[in-house]
Amino acid sequence: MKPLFYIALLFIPSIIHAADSDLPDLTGTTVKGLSIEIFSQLSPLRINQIHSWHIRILDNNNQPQLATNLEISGGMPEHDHGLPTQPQITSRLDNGDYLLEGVRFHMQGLWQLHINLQHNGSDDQAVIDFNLQ
Amino acid sequence: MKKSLSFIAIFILLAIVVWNFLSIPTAIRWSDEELSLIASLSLDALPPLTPDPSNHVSDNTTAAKFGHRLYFDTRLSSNKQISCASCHQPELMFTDGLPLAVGVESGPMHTPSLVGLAYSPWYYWDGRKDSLWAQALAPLEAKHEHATDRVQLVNLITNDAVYRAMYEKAFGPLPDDLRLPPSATPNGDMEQQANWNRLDSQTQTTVSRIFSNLGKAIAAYERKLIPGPAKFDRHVAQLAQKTNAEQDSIMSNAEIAGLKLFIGKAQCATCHNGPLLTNHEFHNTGVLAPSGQLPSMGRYNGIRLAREDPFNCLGKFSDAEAKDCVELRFARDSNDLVGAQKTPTLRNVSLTAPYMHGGQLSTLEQVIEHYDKAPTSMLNHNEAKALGLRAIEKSQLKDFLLTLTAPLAVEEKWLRAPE
Repeated sequence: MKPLFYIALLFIPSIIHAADSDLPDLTGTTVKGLSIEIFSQLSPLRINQIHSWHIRILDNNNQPQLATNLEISGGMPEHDHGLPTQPQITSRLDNGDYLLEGVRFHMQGLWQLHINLQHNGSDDQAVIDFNLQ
Repeated sequence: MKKSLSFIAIFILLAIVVWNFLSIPTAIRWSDEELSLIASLSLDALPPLTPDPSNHVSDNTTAAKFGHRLYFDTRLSSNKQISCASCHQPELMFTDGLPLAVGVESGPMHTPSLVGLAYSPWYYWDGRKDSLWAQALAPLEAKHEHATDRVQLVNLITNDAVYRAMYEKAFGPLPDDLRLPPSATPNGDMEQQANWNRLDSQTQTTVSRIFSNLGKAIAAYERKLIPGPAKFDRHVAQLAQKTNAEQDSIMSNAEIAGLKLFIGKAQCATCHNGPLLTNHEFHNTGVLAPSGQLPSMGRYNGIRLAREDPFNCLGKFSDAEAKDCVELRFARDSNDLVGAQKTPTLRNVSLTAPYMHGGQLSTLEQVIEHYDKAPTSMLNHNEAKALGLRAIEKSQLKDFLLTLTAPLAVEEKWLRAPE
């Protein structure tokens, strides 16, 4: 079972970075090629503490992009349940980042985030998998 | 032929016995990942309790002394026999030893422990309250618990010289011009509600504010009920100082094997995580409803009740600004919360039997058996999966759970009624 688990980890596209304000805590790519960078107020990420994220959406030229209807959901596929909270985008910051409030994780293990947005009038989405220790 | 069949039968029987009951005496070596997880369960990882922004007296000693007195006072009940301490008994780690709580009448739920509860964002098995003080108010008016009401309590506080002085020291002067009936509340029987509706809205608000302050004082007291370091915590402290090869004796081999199961195969630490061994969240684990009861809707209803509660973080009796009420503002609604109940702490679990939201399981053995089987849930689905534990593993798991018992980290005077 354990080797399978580690093999599965190799396929996880995102990486959790160590605490460093310059590096995103989570990264992903949308179906249409936009980069998603997540900077957590609580870094490194840990369980049982509610906090906020800054979400940066970049095009191929690393330019911040305007997204509408940006929504984040997620859960633990292994346990058939969602996030314990319902985080929401509450504002767009001066640098173009989006402020997501109300993020909390309540279990260690494999989490999956679903990011849905509209960009230039069309729907786009990203899935970010990560292992929270 | 007959002989060889007998030999095979005996061999199989022996193999089953060995597989189930024999412990393999190999030293457990922890990986760095396991050591980190174990350290996260230790009380050394518990951060200091931060003030509750919705309760401006949350860390006020004057309020805690007042709350301490209220907590043990049976005059806060209709029959003058029930106090908070009747169900949340200090000697049972603030539980009552009963399957279902018994106040003035028998209630529908099991009494949870109050130990370490101040760290939780949610209260009640279904999380219908979002602060310790808002929680403390509900039993006072609940028909099966204290069965009193806010006007009776305001009359008691204003007419009792000791209480009046304590209240005013903590919260400022009480009004002198309150003209109240003996009994009234918006939540009571028809007469209590009629009395309540006859009060003007300013008086209603004044009464509810005094009532909410009683909850805030009780919460200031209850915040002192913090668990103390147990055998497990001492073992973790030792682990941090010694290498794998040197680890010995604070916990026995069986208890250490149980810890390995707790964070691994038995998956207990998935929800019973952090230093209080709870994620303060809501899970459906397929526990049957108590006999004679319909299955509880759990958190699915609880979050609706929390949002409607006039004493919640966003309400006019809260001292918080809206920005402080993040848990309530971003709480989740979802059908998968049907039947989900709050994860209780496992600190002192050996002293808090029976177990589960309706006290359905009498012993730790039954609890371990329940999670080993992971039965189908009556409502929604059981998040837990069957574990396939061997008999020896179940026993080791219980041995580990018994290492979580310790006296509270609080002065003894707070654990008995005040002089």
